[in-house]
Amino acid sequence: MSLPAVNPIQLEILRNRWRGIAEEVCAAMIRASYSPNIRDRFDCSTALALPNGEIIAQAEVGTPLHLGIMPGVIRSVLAKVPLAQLEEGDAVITNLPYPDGPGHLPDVSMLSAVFHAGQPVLLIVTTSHHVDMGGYAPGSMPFGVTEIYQEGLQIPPIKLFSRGVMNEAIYDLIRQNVRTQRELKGDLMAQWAAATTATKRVLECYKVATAPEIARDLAAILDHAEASMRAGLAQLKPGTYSFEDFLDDDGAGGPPVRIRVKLTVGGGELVADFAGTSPQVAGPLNARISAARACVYYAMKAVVDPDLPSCAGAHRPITVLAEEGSLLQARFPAAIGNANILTDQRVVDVILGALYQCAPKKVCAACSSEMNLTNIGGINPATGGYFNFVETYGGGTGACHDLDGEDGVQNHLTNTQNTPVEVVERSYPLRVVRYGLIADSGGAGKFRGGCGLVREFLFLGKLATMTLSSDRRRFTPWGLDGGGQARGAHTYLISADGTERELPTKTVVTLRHGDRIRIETPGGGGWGAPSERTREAIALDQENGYISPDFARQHYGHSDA
Amino acid sequence: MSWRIGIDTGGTFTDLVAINVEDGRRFFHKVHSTPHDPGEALCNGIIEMCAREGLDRAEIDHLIHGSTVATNAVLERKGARTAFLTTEGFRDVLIIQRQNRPRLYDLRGRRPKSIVPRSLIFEVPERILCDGTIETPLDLRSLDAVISLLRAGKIESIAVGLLNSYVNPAHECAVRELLLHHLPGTKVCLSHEVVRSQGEYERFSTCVINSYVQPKMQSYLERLKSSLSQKFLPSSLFIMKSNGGMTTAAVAGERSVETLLSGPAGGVVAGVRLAAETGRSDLITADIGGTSFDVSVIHGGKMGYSSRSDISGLAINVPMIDIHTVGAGGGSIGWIDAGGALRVGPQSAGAVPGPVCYGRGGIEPTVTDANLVLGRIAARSSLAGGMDLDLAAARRAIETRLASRLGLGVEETAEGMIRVVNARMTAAIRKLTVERGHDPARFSLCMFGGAGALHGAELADEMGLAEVIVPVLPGVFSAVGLLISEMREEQLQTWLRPLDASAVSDLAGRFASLEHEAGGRLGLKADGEKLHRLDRRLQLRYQGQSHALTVDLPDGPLQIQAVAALFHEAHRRLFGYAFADEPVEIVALWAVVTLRERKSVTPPYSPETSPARIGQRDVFLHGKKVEAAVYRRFSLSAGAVIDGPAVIEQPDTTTWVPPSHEATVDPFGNLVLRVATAPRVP
Repeated sequence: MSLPAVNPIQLEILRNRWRGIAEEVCAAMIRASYSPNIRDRFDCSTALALPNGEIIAQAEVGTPLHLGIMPGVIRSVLAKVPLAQLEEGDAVITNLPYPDGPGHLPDVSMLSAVFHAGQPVLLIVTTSHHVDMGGYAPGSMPFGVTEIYQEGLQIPPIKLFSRGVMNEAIYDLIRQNVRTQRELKGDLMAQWAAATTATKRVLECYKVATAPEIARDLAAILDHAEASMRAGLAQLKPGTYSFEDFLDDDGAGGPPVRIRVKLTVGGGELVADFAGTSPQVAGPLNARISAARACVYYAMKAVVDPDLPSCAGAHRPITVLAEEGSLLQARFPAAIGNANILTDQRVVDVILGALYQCAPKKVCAACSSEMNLTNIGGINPATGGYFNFVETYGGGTGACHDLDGEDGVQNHLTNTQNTPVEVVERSYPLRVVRYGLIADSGGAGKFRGGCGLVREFLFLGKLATMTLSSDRRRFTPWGLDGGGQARGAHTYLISADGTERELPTKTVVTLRHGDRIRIETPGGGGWGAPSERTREAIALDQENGYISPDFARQHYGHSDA
Repeated sequence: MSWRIGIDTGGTFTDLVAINVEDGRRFFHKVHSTPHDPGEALCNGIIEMCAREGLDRAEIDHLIHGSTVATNAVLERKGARTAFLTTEGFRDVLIIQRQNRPRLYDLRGRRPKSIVPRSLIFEVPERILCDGTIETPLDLRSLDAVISLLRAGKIESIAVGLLNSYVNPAHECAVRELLLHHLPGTKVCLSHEVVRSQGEYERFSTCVINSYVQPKMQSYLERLKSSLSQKFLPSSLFIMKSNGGMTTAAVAGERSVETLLSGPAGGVVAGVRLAAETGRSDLITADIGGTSFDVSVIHGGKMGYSSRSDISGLAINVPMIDIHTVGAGGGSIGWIDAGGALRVGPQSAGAVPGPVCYGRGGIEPTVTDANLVLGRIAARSSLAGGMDLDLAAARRAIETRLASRLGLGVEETAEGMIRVVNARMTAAIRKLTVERGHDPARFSLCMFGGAGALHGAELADEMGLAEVIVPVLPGVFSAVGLLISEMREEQLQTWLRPLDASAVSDLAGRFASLEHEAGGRLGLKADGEKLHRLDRRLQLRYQGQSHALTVDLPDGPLQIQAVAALFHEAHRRLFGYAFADEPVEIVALWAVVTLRERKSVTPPYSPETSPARIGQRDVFLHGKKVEAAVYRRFSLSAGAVIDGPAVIEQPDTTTWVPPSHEATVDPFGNLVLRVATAPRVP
C-alpha cells in the first residue's frame, strides 16, 4: 500500500520538527560541555542521518566546516563497525581524517544508532573540537610537522560505549595521551548525553507515526532541500567560472600554495572542480575532499539562501572534484591539522571569487579568511596544573557591492566568541595589553573593507609553547570591482628585554616570562573604485579613526582632517 | 476605598486595569497609544476609565506602569548623546562585542552598531588587574578632552567602563568624582554599579545602554509625575522592571536599563498569581500578539530567571525573567519558499497595514486572515472589538498568493498556515522546556494576548500538554500582572572561589551585604522591621568548566555538602551527568530582595445573566465544515462545561474549542480546555 504524498504544509511542519531535534540535541551538547571550545566557541555540530549516510538535519551553530564531514564520518565508521554490529547504547568514536572523517585530530566524532522495533532506523553523529588530542604541541595543531603521527593521537572508529557502558580501557588510553584530561571527560560525556537526548526525541516521533510514514517524511525533507538548492542554482548565470588564490607558504617554509577552482553552473546543478590546485604539501595544510565539500556547501548556502536547510538533499545538485594526491585530497599520512584553520578559509574565498563572475551582488570581497589560531599551553604557576589557552581571531570582512565590510569579526567557516579579557587574566598566566581595531587595515573602495584586529598578550608564566596558525601576509585580502587590497596578518614577539621580532605566519615558539605577543589580523578587501566613495563616508571614517588622514590622502586623494 | 491602576503601554494600545484593593472589583480600558508622549495616553486613559466607571480619581493611590520609553530609545536609537570612557588599549570592546557575527551564513549580516560611535569612545590611562591590584594608576589629566566636549554641550551622558572594575571599582569612582567636580550635575554611569560581574563586553554594554536611555527615562518620568499631580491627587508611581518586580520612579530613572525587557514581564507575573490561586505549580505562559510569541516557564510556582540577555543584539546583563520570543503572531505573513513549502513569519504585517481582513491596505495573507477564513473568528460581531472584518478580501489573498500556487484549497491552505505557525510556536515552547531540562507534559499552558486563546488547544495537543488555561482577561493579562507585582531589587556579584568550608562560612555575610545594597533601593533601613524576603542564588561550576549553573539556596544556615549536592543534582538534571568527585567553584552570588506586599484580593467571578449561547457558525476543520456553537464568555457561569467544537467570544479575544475537547469555567472564571474524557450525551 502506498502512502499519500507529503503536501507543502506537512513538509514545513516536518522540516521544523526534524531540524528542531538536531538543534535541540546540539544545544544540549553545548550546554553540557566542559571546555570553552564548545561552550563559548560553539566548535561542534550534531547531525541526524539515514542508515545510508544521508544527513536529514544538521545543527552547526558555529562551524559550517562540519557540514561536509558528517557523511565521511558515517562511511568510515560503518566500514569498520557495520550497522549489524551496533546495538542500543553503543557509541563509536573516531578522530581520523583518513580515508574520510573529521577534518583534523582534535575533532572527535561520536556515532550511535537509534533502534526502533529492533532495527537501526537513524544515525546520530556529534562532532566536537576537543581542547587537546596529544602530539607534539598543546592543542594538537602544530607546525614543524610533516606527518599526522606527529600531530596527535589517531583514534580509528572504535566503540567507546557498549550498551551504555564506557569502555574504561579505551578511555584510559586516550586520556593518557591528552594534556587536558578533565575537559576530555566532560566534553565526551556531553557528546554522549547529546546522543541520549537525540535517541529519546527520535523515538517520540516513532510513537506518533509508523516507520514507513517517517521514511516517506524524511525523503520529502531531502527532496524539498534539493528543490530549494536547484531553484537557487537556476538563478545563477550558466557558464564556467574559474578563480585562484594562494596560501603564503606550505606550512613548512616552502613556496606559496595554489588553490584553484573551476565552477560549472547550469541546469540547476553545480560542479566545483579543484583541478589545478597544488599537489599535497609538506606542512600540515593538507585536507581531504570532505573539507572542500564543506567549503562549497557553505559558500552556496551563503550565496543561494542563508536559510537553506543543512541536509543531504541540498547537496545533491552539487559535485565536488579534487585530484588524488592534491592539497585537497592528500594521501595518508600527510599532516592535516591546520587545513581547517587556513586552507579551507582560502578555498571559500576562491569559490566566492569565481561566483563573483556570475552573481556579483551575492558575494563579498576577500575577508581576513584565516582563523589566526593562537594556542598557548604549559604549566600555570597559579594552580600547578596544565593550562591550554586557544583562541581564533576574526578580522575585517570584504565589502559587498553596496555595503562596507565589517570590522573585527569572525568570518566564513568560524564564528567563535572571544574569551573576555577579564576571564583570560583570571584563568591563565596571561595579561591582555591591548585589544582593538587596526586603522587603515581595510581595503579602500567605494565600499571599504573591514578593519583587522590587534590583540597583545603578556606572558606571566615561566615557560609555555605557542602555536601560531595564520596566513595572508603575502597574499593579502583582495578587493572586487576596483576595490583595494587589505593589510595582511602580522605577529610579533617582544622579549622582556624589549627586542621585537616578527614571527613567521605558521610556527611553534617557546614563550618565557615577560614575553609579549602582538597578533595583528588582516582587514577585508574593498569594493568599487575608491574615487567613488562619498566625501561624507571618508570624513566619518576619519572622525571615527578607521582611517588616518594619510590613508585618506593616499587612497581617496583628499583628507578632511 | 483605594484603587490601583496598572497601565501597560504597547505599540498600538495602552491597556489599563483598575483594581479595588479592598473588594477586588476590577475594570479595564484600552486607549490608543501616543508614541510621541506615552504619558498622554496614560493620563487620558485614566480619566476616561474613571468617568466611565464612576471612580473618584482621588481614590487612586498606586499607579504601576509598564513603560516602553527606554526600550524604544534603544530600538529607535533615540537615546542621549553618550560618551564612553574605558581603559587604555581597549577602545573597541563595544564595537568588537564578542567577535562573532549574528548570522552564520549571511555575507551581508552585520552586528548591531555600537550605541556610542567610535569617535566618542575615549581611552583613560589606568589599569587594574584581575585581583584588584592597581598596575597603572589613573591619569586624571587624560579626561581633559572629555571635559571640554561636555563643556561644549556635545555630550549629554557619560558611561565609564574600566577593566576589572567588578573587583576594584576605585578608578571608576575617581573618574566620576573628577567629572562631577568640573561639571556638577553631569549624568555619569559606572559599569560596576550597573552590573558587578566578570566579562567586560557585557558589563560595558549594559552600562552604556543605561547611560543612553537613562536621561530620556528620567525626563519622561518627571514629566509624567508632574502631569499626574496636576490632574489627580498625588499618588505613588511605580515602574515595572524586566525581572517582574516593580520599582519606584526614582530608581527606574537611574537604573533604566533594568526596565528594557519589562514588556512581557507583566504576563508572567500574572501567570504566577494564576498558578498559585488555582493550585498549579508548573505553568507555561504564552502571549500571542500581532507580531510576536512570548513564552516563559513557571516551575514549582516560581518564574524562570536569567542574568544574561540582549536587546536587538546588544548585551544587557541584568536579572530578568527568562522569556523566549519568536516572530510568530496574528500578523505573521504566509509565503512559499524556493523549495515549494508553505512558511509563516517571521515577517509580520504588524499593526500597519495589518492583516488583509482589517482593510487597512494589507495585501499579504496573515494568520489572522487564516483564522477568519476558517470561521474561528467572526467577521461581524459586536464582541470582536467592534470591527468588521473583510472575509472576502482575506479569502482572495490566501487564494491568489498561496492556495493557487500550492494547488490546495483556500480552507486547506488557511488550516495549513495555522499548523505551520503552531509548529513554530511549539518549537519555541520546547526551547524553554526541553532545552532547560523540563518535561513539558507536566505543565499547563496559559494562553493570553489577543490571539492566544485561538491557538492554545492545538499547541497543547501538539506538545502533549494536559490543559490550556485562558484567563478572564487575556487581552490585558500583562496589565493585570502589573497590579500584582511586588517591589523587587536584585544584586549579582562575581565572586570566584573554590566551594570549600571557608567560602561557605563567608556566604552569609556576603549575602547580607548584597541584601543591604539591594534593600537600599527599596528604601529599607538596615535596622528596620523585617518586611522583606531575601532569596539567595549561587552560580556554581566544576573547576575548569567555562560556564556556571544557578541554584536556589534554601533559607537558613548553609552546609557545604548540601550546596554541592544542589549543584550536582542540577547538573545531572540539565546536562545528563554529574562528576560528584570533581571540585566545584563559586562563580557569583545573587541576592533577590522582595518587599512583602499586602496581597490584593482576586475578585469573585460573577457572570452576566444574558444567555450564554448566542448562535452557531461553520468552522473548517480537516477540510470539512463543522458546526460550532458560539458562546458569550461572560455569560458562562462557574462550573459550566462547553463541548467542542465551539467558539467562546469576549471583547478582547476568541477562544477556539476543537472537537473532542471541552472547556470548563473554573471558580475564578478562567476557561480550562482539556481533551474530553468521554463523549458526552447532549
